[in-house]
Amino acid sequence: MASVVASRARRSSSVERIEPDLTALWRDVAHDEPVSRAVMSNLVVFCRCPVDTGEDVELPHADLGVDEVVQRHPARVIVLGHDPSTGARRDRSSPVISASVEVLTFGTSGARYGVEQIVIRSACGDAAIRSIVRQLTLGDIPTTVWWTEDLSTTEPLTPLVKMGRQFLYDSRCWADVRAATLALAPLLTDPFRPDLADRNWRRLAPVRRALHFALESRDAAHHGATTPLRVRHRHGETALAWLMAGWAHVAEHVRHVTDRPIADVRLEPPTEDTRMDGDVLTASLDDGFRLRVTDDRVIVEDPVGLPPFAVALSREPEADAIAGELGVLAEDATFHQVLAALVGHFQRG
Amino acid sequence: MAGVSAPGRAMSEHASLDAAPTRTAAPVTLVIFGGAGDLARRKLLPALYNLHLDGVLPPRTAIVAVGRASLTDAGYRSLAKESIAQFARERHTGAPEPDNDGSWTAFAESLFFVGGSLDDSAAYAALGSRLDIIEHERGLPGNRIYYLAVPPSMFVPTVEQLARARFVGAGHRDHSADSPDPRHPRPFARLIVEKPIGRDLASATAINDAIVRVFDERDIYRIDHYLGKETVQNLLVLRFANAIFEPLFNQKYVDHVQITVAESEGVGTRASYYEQAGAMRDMVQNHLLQLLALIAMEPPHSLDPDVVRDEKLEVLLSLRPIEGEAVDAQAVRAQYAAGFEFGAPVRGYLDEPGVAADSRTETFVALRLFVDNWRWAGVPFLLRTGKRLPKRASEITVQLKDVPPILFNRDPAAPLDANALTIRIQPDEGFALGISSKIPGPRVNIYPVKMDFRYSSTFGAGSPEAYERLLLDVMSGDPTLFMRRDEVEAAWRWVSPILERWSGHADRLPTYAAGEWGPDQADALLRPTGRRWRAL
Repeated sequence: MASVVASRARRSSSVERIEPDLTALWRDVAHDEPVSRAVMSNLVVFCRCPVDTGEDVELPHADLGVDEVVQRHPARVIVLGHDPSTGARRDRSSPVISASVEVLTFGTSGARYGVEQIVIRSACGDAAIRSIVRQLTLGDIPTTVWWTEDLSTTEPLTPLVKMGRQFLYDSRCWADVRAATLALAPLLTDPFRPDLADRNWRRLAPVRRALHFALESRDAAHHGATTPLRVRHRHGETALAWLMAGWAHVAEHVRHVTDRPIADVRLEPPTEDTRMDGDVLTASLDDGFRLRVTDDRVIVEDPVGLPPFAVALSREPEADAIAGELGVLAEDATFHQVLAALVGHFQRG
Repeated sequence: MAGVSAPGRAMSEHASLDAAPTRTAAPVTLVIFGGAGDLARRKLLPALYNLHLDGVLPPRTAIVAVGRASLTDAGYRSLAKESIAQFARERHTGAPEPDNDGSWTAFAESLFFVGGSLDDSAAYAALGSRLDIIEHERGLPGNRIYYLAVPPSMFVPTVEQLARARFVGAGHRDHSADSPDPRHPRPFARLIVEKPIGRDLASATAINDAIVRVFDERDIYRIDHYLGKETVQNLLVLRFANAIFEPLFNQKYVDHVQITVAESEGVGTRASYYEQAGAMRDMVQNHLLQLLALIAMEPPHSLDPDVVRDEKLEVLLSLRPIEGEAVDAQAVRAQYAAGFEFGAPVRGYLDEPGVAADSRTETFVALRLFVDNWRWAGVPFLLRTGKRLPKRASEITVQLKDVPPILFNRDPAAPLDANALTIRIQPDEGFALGISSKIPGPRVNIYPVKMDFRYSSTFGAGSPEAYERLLLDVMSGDPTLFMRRDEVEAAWRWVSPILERWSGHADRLPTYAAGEWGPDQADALLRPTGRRWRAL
């Protein structure tokens, strides 16, 4: 993919020089042509980076498409390479292994805008990491912590995560959905939690809309006879399937109609199916209702409801999806309920 | 007491905030007591050198440092050169070294050093003789500014020695006959006093009484260097030269005002001073209350120094007292414990060199207070200051009330951010207006955005250091940006009940980890009101 960056000015820096170096870079990039400094938020990109790797190791933020994201959602990017739970490197006098600053510009001549990026590799312990990020974030604008690691293997650093107004992750990369979901549990019960945003949950939005539309349109008599929604998924879509199952559990139109409190109703776990014939995920009821999610559409067949219908799934570029999440600061109450339901399920074993 | 609240001099002479100021400073001898000390090396000498480079230092100015050190003039000039290279603001850093244009040489020739103990009257006799020689050689008319860059305990003895040695005479105090002949004005004698002035109302009054026995109030310049910062000076311009803000600055539209003065450094080498002061005396009584006065004051009817200061005084006199049990509900103090600064471990206050193991000196203060006047009735002013906070940052934020919960603010799960005007005093001086805007796209997705003005982006070169402006003001005889006696004492009168309440508590102070924004109690101070401290 061709780079979206019109120009990139970078220099190595040090803890004390980060802000002056950025100021100097801005002066440099604006030397030939005016550049607007664009910033909507602080974007803290967390990457696990083993503390004993060389000082010149590149952090993987370029592969994550951070440039494309900030083209769409201009932010002060703070890429943080850190190795959780290994403690501070005692052989180092500085808690920072390396620091660099960059100014990226976008747009065409006459309409050029730029964003700034700070890349830090830390050698400090977990407890100290917040003091680094706090120095670098700008006040008065929202902060998002983008956790690029698998939460089942790299648990969130709660003090760092709580600095943000939003905590963004992607459950597609989870190797162990149970462990990752339970790692989020402390955040769910915290009254000052950030808004949680899962890139994978966003994928489910058109599926949920289709299912909601289909079941809401069913005859009331059939509605009362609804059985639990059974979710099957292909290999590699476990997290998506659990989100679907969790949503089916908390959504009024989907879960088994009962007078019992939702906490007493069993969440139907999804199952992996190796014979999915190209489907990503299916959801079915005992009465013949069937929803199929393929790579490009949602297909609904309901023998007692609406005639069959299909909804196209747009192929949203990754950067659009991340930028879309960054642009929404409101808490997604349904998503939090789903996560709480999943945490409850996994905690019960 | 003469001149404290009397109408000031003609505006044309002193309109330092006026659109077209006239700033003429007469040739002067600046005598710095403590001239080889920390303040002189870090702030005063770099500021004077910058003024020299900018060509605004009065011609033939002599700078005479007085101190205990055994230094010759040449030795002092070396010390000054080193200090300026280290501490001068960026655009002049290193300027002494190349000296291609002789600017350093010219400045160095204006520097002199006189050794001696400030409580020894013989030292003043020697100083007097030296000043006479220097002024004669440089053709100076005898205008003198005495700068007390010494510990507060030395203020009164030094001023009394000045009087005893007849450095200040009746002629200096007699302002009734100012400039009888403009061609031959009488020489002036002005005094600059650094804060803190006293440690409570009684000691502040005693210092002020002692000083005004020697100097006329109009010749006393009590420095609060915050008032010399560019953004602070711009506060009045922002408020009263723009139609957009002032109509909103009142209880009808403002939800609350936050003032934060945060330092990332610990107590450092200042423990002996800080142990006696604490954050309330060191920061709140002066810097924070001065900022509060500027943001809350009524429009003055002119920019005459005393008119401006009268309005500031009105704010200080309108502060609702915090007394007795109200102190526990509206004021929080704490000490920093061990923590981190940019990832590096730092020690707690009690482990700092020179700090008593059982010290109860506060390094953090948070206050919820009210200005009981028509304009600000019911509007909380939330003040906080502390050492070892996450970053060095000072700002004032005026947060407006929420828009009604209709149209775009209906969803309680997605409340809109209230509009806020933030005035950044340091670093990165400027101001920002927070507004809500629709993100481009087919849906109405509202996002908080900032309209940001930065001095550095708009005006280029860095702002002058506060001391540059303030020293020039003293030379020009403009006291607008200095604290008047009644302001100082009003501020002490307001903070005293809080200090008294605290002194009666024997409990250990709450703590906060270095690198955090204060203790939990500071958050609890706001929680019942539904407000939160702003992230800086």
